[in-house]
Amino acid sequence: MSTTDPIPALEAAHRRAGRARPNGSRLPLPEELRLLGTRRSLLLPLTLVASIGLLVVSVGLALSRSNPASNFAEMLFWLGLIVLVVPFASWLAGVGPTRGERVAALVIVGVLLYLVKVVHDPYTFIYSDEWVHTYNAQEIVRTGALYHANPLIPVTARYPGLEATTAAISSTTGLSVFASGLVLLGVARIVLVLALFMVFERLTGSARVASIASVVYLTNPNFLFWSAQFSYESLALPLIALAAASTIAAMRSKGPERRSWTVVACLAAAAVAPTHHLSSWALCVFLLATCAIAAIRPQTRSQAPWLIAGVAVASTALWFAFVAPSTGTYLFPVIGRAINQTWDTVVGRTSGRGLFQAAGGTHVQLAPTWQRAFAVASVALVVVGLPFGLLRVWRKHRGNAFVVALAIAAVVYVAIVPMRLVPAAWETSNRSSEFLFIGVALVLGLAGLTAWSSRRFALGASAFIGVLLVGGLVAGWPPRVLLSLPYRASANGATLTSAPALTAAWASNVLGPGQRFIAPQAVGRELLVHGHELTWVTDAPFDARTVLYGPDVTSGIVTTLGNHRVSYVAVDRRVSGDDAMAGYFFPAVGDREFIDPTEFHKYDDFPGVDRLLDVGDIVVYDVNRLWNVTG
Amino acid sequence: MSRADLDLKAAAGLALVAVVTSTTVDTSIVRTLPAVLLFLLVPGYVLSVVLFPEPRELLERVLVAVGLSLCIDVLGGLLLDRLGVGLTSRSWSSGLAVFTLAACGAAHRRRTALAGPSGAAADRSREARIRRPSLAATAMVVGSVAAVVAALLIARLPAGSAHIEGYTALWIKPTDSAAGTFSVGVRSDELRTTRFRLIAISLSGPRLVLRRNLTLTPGQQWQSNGSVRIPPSGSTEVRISLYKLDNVRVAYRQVYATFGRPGA
Repeated sequence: MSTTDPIPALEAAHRRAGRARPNGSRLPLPEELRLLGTRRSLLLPLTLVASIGLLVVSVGLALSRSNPASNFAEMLFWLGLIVLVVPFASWLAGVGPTRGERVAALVIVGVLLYLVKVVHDPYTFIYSDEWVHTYNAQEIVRTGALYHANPLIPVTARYPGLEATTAAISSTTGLSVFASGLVLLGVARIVLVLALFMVFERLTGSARVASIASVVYLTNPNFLFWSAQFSYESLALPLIALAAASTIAAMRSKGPERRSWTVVACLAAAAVAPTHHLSSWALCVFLLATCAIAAIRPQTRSQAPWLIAGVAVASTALWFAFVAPSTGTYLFPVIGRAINQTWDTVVGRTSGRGLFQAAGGTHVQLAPTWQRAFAVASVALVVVGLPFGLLRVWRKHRGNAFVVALAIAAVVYVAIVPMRLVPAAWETSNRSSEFLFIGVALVLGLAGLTAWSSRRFALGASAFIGVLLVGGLVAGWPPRVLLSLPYRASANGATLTSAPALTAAWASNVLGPGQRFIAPQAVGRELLVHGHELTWVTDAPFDARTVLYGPDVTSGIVTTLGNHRVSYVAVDRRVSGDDAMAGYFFPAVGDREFIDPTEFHKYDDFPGVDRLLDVGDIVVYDVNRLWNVTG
Repeated sequence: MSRADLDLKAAAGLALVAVVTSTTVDTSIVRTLPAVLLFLLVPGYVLSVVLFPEPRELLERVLVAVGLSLCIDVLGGLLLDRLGVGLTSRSWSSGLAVFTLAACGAAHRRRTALAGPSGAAADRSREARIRRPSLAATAMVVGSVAAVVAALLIARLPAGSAHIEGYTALWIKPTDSAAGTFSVGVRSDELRTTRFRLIAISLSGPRLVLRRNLTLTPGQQWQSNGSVRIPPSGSTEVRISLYKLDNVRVAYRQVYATFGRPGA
């Protein structure tokens, strides 16, 4: 494996130039240029710059928590992100850094970007899915067993890889699930970055291309927040990358080395299956596609990783069949809706979705114009850049089944971008980017070498990465939670908690854990995780929505409560109370939108209902006697 | 084990330390480092030596060691659960320690089977490359760490309250519904010190159950117990209203609960 930064095209040009000189002299190779120069490593200075970038981001987010409407906060956030990533990207695009420096730089950028997510939400796991997995981990700590019930997303408990490991760290160290999860995901992030570098380097033979491709991957729409959240794919993705890197290493080695890498790849593939459904499927598709591509030509058949693919497929199928058969009923309707609505949109039966919009409850937010421009530009850059990389793949790498498979992934990424115009398919398109962007990163990394010399390329790459970073983030994350919102506040030296968090603390302290609740999305998640109450939320698999938002207390509601032995109902008059991403925070002054008062007050003075807690926006009712008497 | 097996000795020792601290020490700060290393580095490292006993470059060694540790954690959790021993700190740390010790033995045998001096030479050459960092390099590392720590500390600061709305919580909880006893509480998360009046009345009568003026600073909580006499009719309702003293015409918060045997 190469330990230098060979740039094949430049090397060839230099060799040609060397041959053309009559005295036998030649132009120096890039590696020689680097060694001849009085070189000082920029690793530490740029680490300092990137760390300051993180500090600027943190200051911006702290400002946004104190004043959510602050333009200055937003400016600091974007400035900090640019300072964190772009100087390193510019350096890595050049020929200066050694291979070790490139790896170190990528790990530093990867970890600092992970810390952006940590400083964004420093008190608890607060994204919609994070509550689901935090509850799973808490239950494993509490019961010492896997596969308990989860009232939010039941299927998640059947994929306990992340939660079991977090619970293990938590119970063994005594740290909270939150702290244990942060440590685990930070380490997983390092594995992801290292594995991707290894994949790209082994496929291209160049540490420089590998580092460029890795930085491109760091700008994908889901890297900053989505892939850093406490959710099963955040562990599964690094395991996939490890499996891919090991598979490529295995196929390129012989003897005991090949066997050892195969063992690593098989272990990683087997570990993905109980960790995340889509990730295990994505790994199977990648490995099978590689096998199929390799099998086409006799000279590439030795590249086909049949054994590893077999292990991946077998472990995924067995897990699906025997442990998590409910995965189908969870995922297939989502995928089916995406396909159906895409078709309906194509044939004009339904209107599409507005871009850059994110709805929380009924409130719709639109990203600012300049951000939308960056998002469009980022997609355009990918679309324009890919043909150059694909051309290089065709010319130089079409005999490599892995490169071809990843190039196909890059094309698929572009092909499904229009699905973001379809409401039911937007999520599918967005979430697949964390897998498909590995192909995009590789192809764009290769594209960078075709046209530019090093110095100009470094400058261009900086701008390119900046646009991808900003545009990707705008495209992949809801604008209403892009900056931090106030979860805790201080007044007169005291720390105040938001109303949903206080409701959960009250329930745990006053009612005791283990009570059955129905509640809107935000306060329901708080009750489940911090209140330790068994809580169903609005989109429960029964008609919880009518319990919360119906205009009257009907016999149907009473039956629903009785069927599920629900003792308490929490209602939230804020529209944002049913927003699983943004409903946990202090409302800004004057920024209030309320549900219909008849829905909010329907339990007041209803016979058999006690009103136990009044927080203003949130009220908790005891409905136990309602269904005990009626039923 | 030879001097070249120092890493394996350290791994085995660390696994044992992790077992001891996680099962006998209550202080989290003592348990954390050994346990984190046991889960996220040690078993994978030792297994990586079993698989790749010859010296490897740092990137591959770190990737395989940490990556395999994650795989062992995930698959080990399934195995422990399947064995029915329970996923406790004791079973986890013991299981990983047993795996690590067994793997250490296998790794030692694998290394011994290879030409020993090559590994030692590689170790020595690695030692020779270690240089004392310059003052500027040290300053930049310290500056970077300081910036990261400052970023994390700033993130933990509570938000200012200039642009948010405060609130107050009022609650009632029957402690013995048949006996008519209850607890009542008020927590102020208002942005400034606020004066309240709390009035609790029983609807069978009606008669005053509780009346109290409260002055609460932000974050302050008040709690009390009360009781109501159950009438012969079988039940009564206690209704508690909280007023802000600067606006006593509108109840700011209200809760109620029923006591006795409704419908009796």
